[in-house]
Amino acid sequence: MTASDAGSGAEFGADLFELYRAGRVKLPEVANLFADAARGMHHLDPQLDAVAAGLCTSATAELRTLLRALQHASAITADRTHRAAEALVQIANDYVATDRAAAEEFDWWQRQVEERRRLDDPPAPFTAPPRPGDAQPDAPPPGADRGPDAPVPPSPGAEDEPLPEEPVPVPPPQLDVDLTTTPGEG
Amino acid sequence: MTTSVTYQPGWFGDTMSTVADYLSQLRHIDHVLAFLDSPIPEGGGPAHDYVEVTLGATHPFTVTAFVPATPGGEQASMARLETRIAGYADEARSFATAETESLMVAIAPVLELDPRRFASICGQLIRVQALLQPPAHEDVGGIGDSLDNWEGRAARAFADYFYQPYQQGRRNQSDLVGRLAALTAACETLTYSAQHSAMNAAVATALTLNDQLLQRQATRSAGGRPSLKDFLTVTSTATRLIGLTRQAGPGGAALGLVSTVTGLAAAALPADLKPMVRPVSATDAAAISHELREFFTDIVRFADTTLRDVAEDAGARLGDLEALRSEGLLMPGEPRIRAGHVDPDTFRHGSGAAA
Repeated sequence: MTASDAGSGAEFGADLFELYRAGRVKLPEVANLFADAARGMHHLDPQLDAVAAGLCTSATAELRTLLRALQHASAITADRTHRAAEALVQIANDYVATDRAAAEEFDWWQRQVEERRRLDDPPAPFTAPPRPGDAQPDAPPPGADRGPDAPVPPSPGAEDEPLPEEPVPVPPPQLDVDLTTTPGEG
Repeated sequence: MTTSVTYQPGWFGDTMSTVADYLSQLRHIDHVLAFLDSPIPEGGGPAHDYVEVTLGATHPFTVTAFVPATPGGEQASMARLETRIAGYADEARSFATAETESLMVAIAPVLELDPRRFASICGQLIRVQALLQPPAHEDVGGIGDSLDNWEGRAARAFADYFYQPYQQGRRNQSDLVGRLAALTAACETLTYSAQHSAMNAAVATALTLNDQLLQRQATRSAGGRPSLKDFLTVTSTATRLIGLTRQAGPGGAALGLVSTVTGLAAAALPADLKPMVRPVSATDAAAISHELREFFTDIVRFADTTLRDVAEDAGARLGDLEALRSEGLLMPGEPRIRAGHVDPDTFRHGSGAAA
């Protein structure tokens, strides 16, 4: 392969850098986002299993099937995005290694961008998300079930901590009629 | 007047204990009064005494009982009367115990559901949906502007199979997670509503029994006019929650749906469910217990039907998912580029081709 075969000039360098930045920073973020989503759904599988009793059996079975299909889709998306990111970085590196002009342009762009520091950092770690049926982690994730605004836990964990047996005590409800009143008093 | 009370396991148990106590008292009172009002048995002699009999514990009252003359004398007659009244009391207690145990068994399928678990699952799914919700104009990887400058088989495959389907796939995944959250919210709402209905029915029954006991105290006679204690129940209308999940549009509409349904679930008795008002109209212990059993059966049937709707809707959403997958709209395809495999024929820049 020669430089002229692959491309040349400033635009080539700039586009090469865009490939590199996508593979090095942006696509890994997306891959981890989908991996987190897959993990979040993975935690829910045993929770749906826990409510599968009596009247709920058929409903929770269908809900679990749908949940697992969605988890699978997110996990596949994470994996494919991660592989795409790795490939783009490698492609950019290979072209830079074979094209001096492109390499100089590439370096210039690398110095300009806001992600400079992130480009210097090691690649974001990627842990393959769990697939449906994989074993559940032992510990619940930090921050699990702390409210609707809490982020999905970034690390594997279980959201299956048992709920308290009794509800939070609240004052007894006020009846419209006292059970022991006589006619006319209530 | 309608009853609307929050279901709590302990409070429900206390109410059913009250129902059992009142059932026992009412049945005992009615049996004793019917016995005392019955004609003198054949062979009985003229009355030689009258005694005061106290009936009821919650609203006690006394009635005058005729003690017929018998060959055994007054003491034997009194003993027979006391034995008969005590026998009615034993029978009434056994009846009330058996009825209450049976009622608890009848409503158990609804009481064993835990809405808090559904609420927890729904909350986590909403967080996952928010995570997957794509920005309005997402350019995954930020390479939208430069991707067209790349040519070759692998470059085009990357654009066509990975880059282009990505955004729609992310949106569809987020949408389906939202619909799944909506279904769990519907389960939560259903569970709350069914349990509230059971609680209301039990309280209305207790109120009815109390009113009947008061009527016995006032009239000192068996039987009474209907008490007509009303209570709120949802036994047919909550299926609209499932309908909502079917009608919701994609994307943001699904998120709004989750908020709506979750809002309903958070209410003590969701106003949008338009609960029915039903009366407890029976006047004797057996009939009142029978009515409560019918209410419980209706509530369990309602919960079962609605949960089957949930299962059916979840199955339909799974069908949607499979259709999206087969059309390549659920997730991006394989990037079809391999690390370390750089080939001008498969991934080259347009400037090179032009040259």
